[in-house]
Amino acid sequence: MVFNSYTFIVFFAVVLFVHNLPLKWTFKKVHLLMASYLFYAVWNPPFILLLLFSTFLDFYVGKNLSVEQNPVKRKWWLAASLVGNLGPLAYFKYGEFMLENFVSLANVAGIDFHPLAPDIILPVGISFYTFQTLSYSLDMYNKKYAAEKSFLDFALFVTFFPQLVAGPIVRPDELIPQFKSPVKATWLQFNQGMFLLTLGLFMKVVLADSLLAGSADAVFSAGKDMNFIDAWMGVLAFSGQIFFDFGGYSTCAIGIALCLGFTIRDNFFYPYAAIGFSDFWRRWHITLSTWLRDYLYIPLGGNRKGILRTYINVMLTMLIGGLWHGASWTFVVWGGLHGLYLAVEKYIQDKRKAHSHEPGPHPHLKPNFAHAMLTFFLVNITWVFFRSQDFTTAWSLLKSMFFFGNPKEVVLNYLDILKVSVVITGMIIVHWQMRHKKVLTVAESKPWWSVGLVWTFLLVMLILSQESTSSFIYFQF
Amino acid sequence: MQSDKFRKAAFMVLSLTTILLGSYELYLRYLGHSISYDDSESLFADKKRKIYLPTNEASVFTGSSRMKYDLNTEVWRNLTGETPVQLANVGSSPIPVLKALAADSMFKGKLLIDVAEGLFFDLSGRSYERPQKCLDFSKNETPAQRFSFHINTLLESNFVFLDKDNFALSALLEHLPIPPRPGKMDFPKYPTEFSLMNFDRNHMMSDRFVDHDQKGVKMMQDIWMQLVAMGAKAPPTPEPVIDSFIRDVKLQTDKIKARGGEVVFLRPPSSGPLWKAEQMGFPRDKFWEKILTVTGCKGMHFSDYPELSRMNCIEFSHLRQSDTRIYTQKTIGFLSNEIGWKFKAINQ
Repeated sequence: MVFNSYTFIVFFAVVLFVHNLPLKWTFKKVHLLMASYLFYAVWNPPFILLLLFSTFLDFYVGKNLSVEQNPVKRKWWLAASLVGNLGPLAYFKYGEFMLENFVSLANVAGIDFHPLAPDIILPVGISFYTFQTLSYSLDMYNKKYAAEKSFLDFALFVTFFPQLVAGPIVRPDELIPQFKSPVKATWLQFNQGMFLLTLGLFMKVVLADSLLAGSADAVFSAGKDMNFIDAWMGVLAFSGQIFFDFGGYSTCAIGIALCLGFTIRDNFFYPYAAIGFSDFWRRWHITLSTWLRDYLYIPLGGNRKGILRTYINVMLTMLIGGLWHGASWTFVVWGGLHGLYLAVEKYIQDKRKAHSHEPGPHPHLKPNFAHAMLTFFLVNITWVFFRSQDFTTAWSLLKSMFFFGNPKEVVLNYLDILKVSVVITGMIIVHWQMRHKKVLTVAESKPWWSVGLVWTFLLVMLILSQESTSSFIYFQF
Repeated sequence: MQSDKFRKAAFMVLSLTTILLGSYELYLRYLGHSISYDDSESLFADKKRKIYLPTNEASVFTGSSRMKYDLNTEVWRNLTGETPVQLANVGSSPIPVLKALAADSMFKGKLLIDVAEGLFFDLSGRSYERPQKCLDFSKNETPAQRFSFHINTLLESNFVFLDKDNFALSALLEHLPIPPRPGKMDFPKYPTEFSLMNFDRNHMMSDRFVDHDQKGVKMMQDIWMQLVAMGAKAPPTPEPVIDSFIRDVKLQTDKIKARGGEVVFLRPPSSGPLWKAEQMGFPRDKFWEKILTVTGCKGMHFSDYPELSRMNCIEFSHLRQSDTRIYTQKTIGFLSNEIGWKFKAINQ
């Protein structure tokens, strides 16, 4: 079920109604759990079994890790969780990719190997809920907190429908405590949640699908060198589309949870106002970047094992982060480019720190709009690899972006260019203006009628756009 | 304080949204616009589910826009007592749907295929995209998508402004007076009342468009002739390739007939320079007759019937609503009398 569908409106209305009935808290939690399974099952019912398997496995592993003291046995329990979670992920998400690469390698080695093409369907949201449940086992292994005793609370943590299929990736200690005592949204929370839900749907349906997706699709599927304006417009359109699509989903998820009385942490914080790449990753897909930091970068040694290992750890983390997004070498290059940017940024910062004699930030590092735009420019280069089907498309587009394309080949019409220009300019202005603010804080500081006017605009545009069923981009990851 | 502020804002949103959309709806109705459905993959899937109705309860249509405009489903339903299952797609080849029906061992019904030669014999694959997308959607449609479709249908049946092709945000933006970009060929936006669609997926031109929108009619004529000119520039398809293609069509029709199904080809009317161009580009003996000879299926060509030959497609390619009634009656008569198709209402 997608948030931008009539089915969801009916589903959510029923869930809200039951959640607000004067019933026992345990019953309400069972209802939320069942609703979450239904939410997931209407895509492909058999994949519920995977979700259940992951839930049972990590609950059981967590329970054993909390009492087991023998270090070797603890390692075995952790390995069971890693294999049980990453195994299905590897099969469903990377099975075809691994086979393709194996065949290529075999052919290079002169072995004529032609296996049957597997027809593997990727279970929606597997990358998200796998990381979510895995974080519980890893935290238990690290003795971060006591094992969860209630299977119901744990199962609800894994399947809670607002963030089940595309995040934010919630940590156990953020969500499970909220299930311990009865929760019901106040009127303020409910209205703010509905406001965020409208805003998220507006971002997805109006900005991403209605105004940007067409231009991005046209440019990335053109299959030829083109005019540099078209190439840039296509890439800018995608940079807007991916933000509004995924940021829109996260905003919806936070809003829906708030309508029920639960709090989920932010996943995006105006990323295109980032100054530098460390800043970008503190603003873009925050719950994934912090997950990778806590469960991959730091265990690898982080910056504690010398400068060279730091660079290697950054690069490894970003390469795996790239591969998490999809089973393709273009995603690996996307991650690699971000790793390179982060490494270069760190190198420059270290050099500057070494030459600066004054305490505090170096005067040359004062944030300004030009730095943000340089970051945005470099981020756009990475999106070329993220969105391209293959390296041929990516190379053709990069050539075109830097004046080596075919100036006579035009892909977009003036209306497309106008739509992209207006939306992207607006997006950059809003990101820069809001770079230290939260949308609800800003709304709280404005008079009620101005909030009402903006909210009405969002809702009317949402209804008029009539783009009601397209899936969110991150569902495929 | 904050709670009060957001409550007031929420009340304002509900009131203003209702007023704005209500006014817009009334305005569109005042202008004479009527309900028109979105030709979505969901609606196609809804129709496709009906192909399994017993043979004496449904007939399946596929092809291009001529099938959608010319065969009047309402008249069909009234005269035959059967459900018309419209699986044709605008600007598309019937081949993907034919292949899907042939591959479906459960389908044993009556199938009518329209032959608009430019699309039927288009081997580039472009005219396969839309029907293939619809077929893929039908195959993979989730329960949630199906439920959404039913709610959407309820809303579309009651609100004119939910006509996606004409009044969605993207459609409204396309009407902005923005000049064409040199070097970029854009397909012109159809006039609003050229393509209205009912819940049967039956397209129609409004009488207001046919009788009063001379500019719109001229625009549509120009579009068809532009497409003909583009087609004329393409190198002709070699005869052996055409023959091989028709043999493949035969394989598909044979599969359906072997299961007890029936397949008939229709060549709906076209007029003026478009009809002349079609005769030149696709001589009847080398294309239409060959389809019938090779497949062994029966067919009805409009030019064999004086009453149909006299019909004038105002924009050269499709019939006006009053003519679609006559054309549909004639087609049913042909199927019933000359081919022996059994219809529920006629043969009772």
